Amino acid sequence: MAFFMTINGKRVEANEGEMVLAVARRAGIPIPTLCHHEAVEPFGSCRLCMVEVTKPAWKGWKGLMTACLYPCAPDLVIETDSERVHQVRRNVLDLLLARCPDADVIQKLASQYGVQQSSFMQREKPDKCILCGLCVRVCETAATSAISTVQRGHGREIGTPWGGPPPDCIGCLACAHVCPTGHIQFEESGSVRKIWGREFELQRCEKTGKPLPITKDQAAFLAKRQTMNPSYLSTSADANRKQTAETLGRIARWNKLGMQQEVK
Amino acid sequence: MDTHLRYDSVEAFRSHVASLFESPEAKKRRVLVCCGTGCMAGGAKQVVEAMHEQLQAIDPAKKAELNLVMKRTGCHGFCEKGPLVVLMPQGLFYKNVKPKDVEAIVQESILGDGVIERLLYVEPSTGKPVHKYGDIEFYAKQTRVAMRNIGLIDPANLDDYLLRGGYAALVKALTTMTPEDVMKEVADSKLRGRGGGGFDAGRKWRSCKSAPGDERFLICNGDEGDPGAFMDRSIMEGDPHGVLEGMILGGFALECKQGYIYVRQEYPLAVENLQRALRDARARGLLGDNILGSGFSFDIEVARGGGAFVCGESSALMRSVEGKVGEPRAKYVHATDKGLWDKPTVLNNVETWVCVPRIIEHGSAWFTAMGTERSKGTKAFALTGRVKNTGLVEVEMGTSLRDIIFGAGGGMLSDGPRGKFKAVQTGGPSGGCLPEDMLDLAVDFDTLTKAGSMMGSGGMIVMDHSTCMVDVARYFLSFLVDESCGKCVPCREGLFQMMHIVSRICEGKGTLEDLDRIEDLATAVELGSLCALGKSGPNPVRSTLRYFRHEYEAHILEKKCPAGVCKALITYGIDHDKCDGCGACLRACASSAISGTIKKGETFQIDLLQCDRCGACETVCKRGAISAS
Amino acid sequence: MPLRLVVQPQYCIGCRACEMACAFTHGNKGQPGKSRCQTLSVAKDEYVPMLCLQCDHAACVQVCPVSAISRNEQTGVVLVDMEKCIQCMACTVACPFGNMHIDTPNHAVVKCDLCAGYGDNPRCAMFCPTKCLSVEQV
Repeated sequence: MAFFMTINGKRVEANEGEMVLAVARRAGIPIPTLCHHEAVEPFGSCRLCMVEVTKPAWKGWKGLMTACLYPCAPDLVIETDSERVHQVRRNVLDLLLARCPDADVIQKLASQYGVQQSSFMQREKPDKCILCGLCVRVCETAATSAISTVQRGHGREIGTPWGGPPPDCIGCLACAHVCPTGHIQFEESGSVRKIWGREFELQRCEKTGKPLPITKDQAAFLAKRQTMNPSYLSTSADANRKQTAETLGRIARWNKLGMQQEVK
Repeated sequence: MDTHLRYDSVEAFRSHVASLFESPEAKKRRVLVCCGTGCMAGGAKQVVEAMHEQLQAIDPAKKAELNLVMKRTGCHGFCEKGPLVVLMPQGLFYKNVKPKDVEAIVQESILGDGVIERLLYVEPSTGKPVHKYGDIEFYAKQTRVAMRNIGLIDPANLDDYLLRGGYAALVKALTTMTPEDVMKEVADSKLRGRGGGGFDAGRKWRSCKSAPGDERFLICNGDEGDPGAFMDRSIMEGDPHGVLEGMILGGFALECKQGYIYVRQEYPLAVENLQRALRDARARGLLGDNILGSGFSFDIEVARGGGAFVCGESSALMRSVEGKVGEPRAKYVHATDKGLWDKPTVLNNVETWVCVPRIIEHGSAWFTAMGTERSKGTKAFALTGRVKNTGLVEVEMGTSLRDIIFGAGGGMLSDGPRGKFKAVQTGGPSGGCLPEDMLDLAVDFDTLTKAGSMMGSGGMIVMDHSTCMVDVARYFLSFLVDESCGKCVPCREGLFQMMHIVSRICEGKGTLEDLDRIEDLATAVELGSLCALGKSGPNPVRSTLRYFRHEYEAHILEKKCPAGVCKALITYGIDHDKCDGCGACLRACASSAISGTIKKGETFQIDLLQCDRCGACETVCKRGAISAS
Repeated sequence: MPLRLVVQPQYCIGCRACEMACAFTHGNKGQPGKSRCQTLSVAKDEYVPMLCLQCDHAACVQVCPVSAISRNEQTGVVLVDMEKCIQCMACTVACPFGNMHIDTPNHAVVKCDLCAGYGDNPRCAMFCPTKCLSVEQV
């Protein structure tokens, strides 16, 4: 079911069930986000994607809502860069810069809104975690919920069971890849991957013995969860490609010898 | 109370209630001993034991003649004056009763007609002692609707509730009304939620009923997290069946099968009394399958909180009931469409639910005759702070702040310039402070909001000139920082930074630029926060800045705290004219900041570098020689 | 209208024009990107250009834990939604034909998309001098 709404004076088409953020981006209208990722459900924690929302039926009343979670509706009128919106974004970025002064993505975004240096008090030992929750949410969606947010309020942090290395982690690095600031660190050398204080053996190619880009735990997890024969996850792309090329080469030889085969 | 009785029909219920009214039980003289949490903390348990012992010791013939029963009641709402003992039917009201007073009470007022003067309440406005419960201004100036039963019944006794007309509203609905009739009556009463949001209950119920879905839930919000608020506690403890009856009527109207009462972790007595009431109601056939043989089935379960203010927020509460972390979520999709377990849900406050049976019983016109144009009925307030009578006050909506504070409240606690009225904080951490020239504002859902505060759930803290308004702002900010769930940036980081700025001002390290920074940040936090905790968090700071800016400026420009509260800005000194060298202060000082030779008053000094401004010396000094400036 | 890229390795002369065409088409601002086609030598003077087979029941689609890969039934192309991709690299291992590549500098996965979004006109076929790679409509 498609209908029309207005964003920054521009008439755009939207579908039932879509959020304002998706429609705005599709129309080429930029809205900053930090805690948003298409792989997981929207969360609404960073508040950067705030927009002014109104409807004719609201008789001039305007509300500020997060675009990532606000459902599109016919006749919605959205403003993405009003003064109030900028006031919220500027303060959010100022606050995040106080929390994580060394995070590049925050520095860049903050300076776009006129904040070169935070006007607030910094932490004693600042790290780069902005508590967007993406790592936790992606681990829940794509892996094993090995990590979680713990504690309340200003003491909130990303934690693991009893603060130790998370027993359920499969070393897939999804958390590190979705983290907007690069706060989650990992190391890889040889056939060992280290993250969250744990060490993982990388899966080895049955044919060449070389380490694959997934861990053994990750392979076992995927085989089960995505219902795949484990043999799909035991050989490298190079080995697979070589073997397939050899097979296709043989077929080509036969074709050269007159037998017609079509390779799609 | 008969625990084996069960009503399998409305007729059975009616005939039992009629027999109760005729029974000797209904005609007994009652000795009401308040056993609400406040009085229990004051030693009510021991008073009950002493009373029981004394009553047992009465000669059997005299006992039969007196036809007495002792009732352990719920909270009267006058906790500072507890433990309370009220003798009915005469209404003789005794305050601050100790176990050793009980013998005299029995001898003089129960076996005789005497009155024990020293246990009587003295009316502040007249200076005279008052004998009767109903004559005490604190009670006389109230219109108790939601609190009509508490303090007068034993909450553990269903028959007491029935003798007050309990469950008559339910029977009226089951026999003469349809679910739609009940919906309409509640809508016509214009009942608005009493938990702080003030949303029209009828509209909320209507949205839930029209939402698509096969299953619906209703919830009673008993989280009551506002510091100083205890209306809901007293209602849950003292009149649990009132809450149940309201919810069963709600279930009937909404055609839903299951309700939950979410009680905060810190209210164990409320949980206990609610659980007992649920058991008794189920046993009698007033709750559960096929209520009173009507075919309507509805049950209620108690869910306990884990100790988080944020779980009073409706979406966080629902997550908590579901067993998840109590974090709010965006409310663009309403709970009446997708609430508990994503099913249409109605959530209302304890006080809202307990009004429902009254509305059904007396009709919506009775309710709308009270209150103002847009705020109908009555509201319970927890009046605390620097007033003579602290406690629960229920008055018609539209009563002015002045009438509440100086009427039932009995006026300011202390005399002299420091005891004069300075401000009243309403609405808990979501509300603001209003100064003296706002005292004539009507207390209702809308008037206080325009002035920069709000009625909220009913907390009302009265402040005099011994209160520092900057310190008040700092207190509420630190409360919210502690209770914030931490999910969104504006609340988690913004309120934290605001608290730090205000704390620095309290320490004399603030600048005028700080005030501008606070205003800008406050707007961002209000607009940007995910839930009401964050959105209303800046209210205490904003309202104190609006009405008491001079106090902030004194802290900043003069490095002075006019109220003498902010420790960094006050100094303690010894008046050598008054000091007699007793050395009590020296012994009391934990920082060893006081030195002097015993009996030589002129030698006593406070080392201001060591002194941590705890004020212990001022407290122990019998000569009043030590004061802060 | 679904496209079909036809590969007839018996005509491949190993010139790698297909790789260049692919790299420049998918590259950033005219600089070459990672080619989605790789020509392997299987014997002397025998070459096979390897690129995604756009499988009907693709292993990469199956393995992706966030369902970022899907097959467009209209065009027949299997596409990775780069906004959903969490770079776990499972697809690069799961593809039985080794046709999912890792673009190491950008830490992304890349595969042949039949030039969808680049004019739907597979450049490898356009530049192939021997018509080893050709396009037909299904």
